[in-house]
Amino acid sequence: MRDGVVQKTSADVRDEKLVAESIEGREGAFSELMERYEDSLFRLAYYWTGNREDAQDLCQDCFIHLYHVLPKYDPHHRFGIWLYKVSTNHCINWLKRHRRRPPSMSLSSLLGEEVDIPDNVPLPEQSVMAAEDRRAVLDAVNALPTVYRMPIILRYLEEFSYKEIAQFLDISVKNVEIRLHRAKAMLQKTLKHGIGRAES
Amino acid sequence: MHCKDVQRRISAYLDDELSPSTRDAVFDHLEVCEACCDAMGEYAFTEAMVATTLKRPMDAPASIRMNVLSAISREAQAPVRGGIWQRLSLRPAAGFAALLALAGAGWRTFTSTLPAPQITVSEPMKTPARVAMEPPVRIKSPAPRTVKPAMPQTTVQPAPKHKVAPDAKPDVVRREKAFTPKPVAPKASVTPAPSQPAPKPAAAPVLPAFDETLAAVGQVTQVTGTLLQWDERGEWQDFSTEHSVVKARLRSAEDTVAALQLRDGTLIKSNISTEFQVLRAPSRDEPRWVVRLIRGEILIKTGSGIRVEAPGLDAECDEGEFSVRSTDGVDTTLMVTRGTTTARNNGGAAVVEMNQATVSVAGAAPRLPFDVADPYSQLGWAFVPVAPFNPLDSGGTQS
Repeated sequence: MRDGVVQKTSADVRDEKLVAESIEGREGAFSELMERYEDSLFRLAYYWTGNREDAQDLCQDCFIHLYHVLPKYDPHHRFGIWLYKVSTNHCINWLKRHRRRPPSMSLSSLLGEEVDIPDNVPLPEQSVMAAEDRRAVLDAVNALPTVYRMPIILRYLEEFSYKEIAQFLDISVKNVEIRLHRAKAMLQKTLKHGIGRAES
Repeated sequence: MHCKDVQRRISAYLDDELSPSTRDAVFDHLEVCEACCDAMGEYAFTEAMVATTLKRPMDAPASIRMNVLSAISREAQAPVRGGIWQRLSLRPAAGFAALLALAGAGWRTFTSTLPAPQITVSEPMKTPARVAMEPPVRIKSPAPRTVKPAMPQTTVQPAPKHKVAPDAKPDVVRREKAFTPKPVAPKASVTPAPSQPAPKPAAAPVLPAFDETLAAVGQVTQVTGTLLQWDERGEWQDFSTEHSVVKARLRSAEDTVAALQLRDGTLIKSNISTEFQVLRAPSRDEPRWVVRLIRGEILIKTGSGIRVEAPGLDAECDEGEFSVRSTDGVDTTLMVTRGTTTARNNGGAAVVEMNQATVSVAGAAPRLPFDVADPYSQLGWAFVPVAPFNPLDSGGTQS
């Protein structure tokens, strides 16, 4: 964030345009918006439900809910974050209505899984993360102080558990939890405001 | 639990690193606190952005958009009484035409043909048929009756046991976590091919910068011929060795063959108009390269381990040489020219070791049980007595 102005990526601009067009009722706008976020939302739904069938139902539910609350979106914030916030609330309310508790799993573990899609069934290419977003994430991670960057790399790249990170870095598990929490908070601050520098 | 206590635990909650009682306490709070739910959503977004940069995303079922658009369309046309289940009641046939009209340019049909890029996948989520419940059955193929090897053969080399020197820092690799149980692969650590210099032992764990690590994992040491890569803009561009080959969707140009040498010495040669994708680099759980053949034919030479996923057939080799061909993306031929390759039906039910033999899988992957006594039966496979072919050395394919 520079000079108090939110720096937006081309993906952010596209999202806002699609939201506005969806509210206006332009054909295809909401479909394109869904196409951009259906994988993300499906992962989130799967994280909260633990199985594919419920995740699909919940994901559809979330999108229908989002469609109705789109007019409440404030363009001063990144659409992806708003989507996650609204959807997380919706997912938790869904669990509450169905009197269920979420399964025990980590969100990042789902982000590397593959699903079986029959051969010879081409699917639309998903590119929610534009190259500039990806670059922004890499820059943000590289800009982290070493003490916070190393746990992030060990967690996401090596998929170490907290205990394994603690052993690797010769620190306590509690310390790992604190460092990861702070690292993610710093990354969140950077990504929330778009392209920018992570602040120490 | 107060908001402050919950919010400082959100990161660990998403990482599934809390004790069950603490986890339940956090969730109980989330059920009644919208502010903490919002905070959870923001952290989940960050988690997704960071992890997705490193990993391949999970793909949503293709029917989600259709169902949602159908539901919204029905809502707009006629108020629906009842809950969400009634709204989501599907009548795909009846509403499909209207759905297409509603979706407009945002909808792509499933009938699009290549080179529309595919989202490549390999393992299903919790599909019992994919779980190998029995240890693989290893059957030595009998001496082929009429198959002639393409190249002069040596005796079968047993897969060497790779061991990492105790002090050596292994190359940074990704640990791929299987979603469903897989057959336990022989334990093998990742080591460079013998011709490569041994990794220098590190006195202290020093991690390279993030993007250097990522590039090093999928580094290509050499490219010959013309190799193209599908980029994010939806175009085929010249592949650059500066980019990671992992996840890259590649193809050789129309009238050329190409070769790709990976940093551990594994060689992938692609025939004309061949399309393939390097899905994974060797990792802690899967110490082999994983390559998907989309169409065409590739020749593999490896000394450290590779698995090729092709239509109807998976082929694994720890050291040796083999070719896989599937020109139409339906029928697949595997030809082993050196070493031992293990071929597995995509249904996961059969395992056959082959040496100096050719196997063709016709049509869709068969799902029939494997008969130990008769390895040629009930699989839809045929040991085809074919003349040897040198698709890549000669520049042509077998007729």
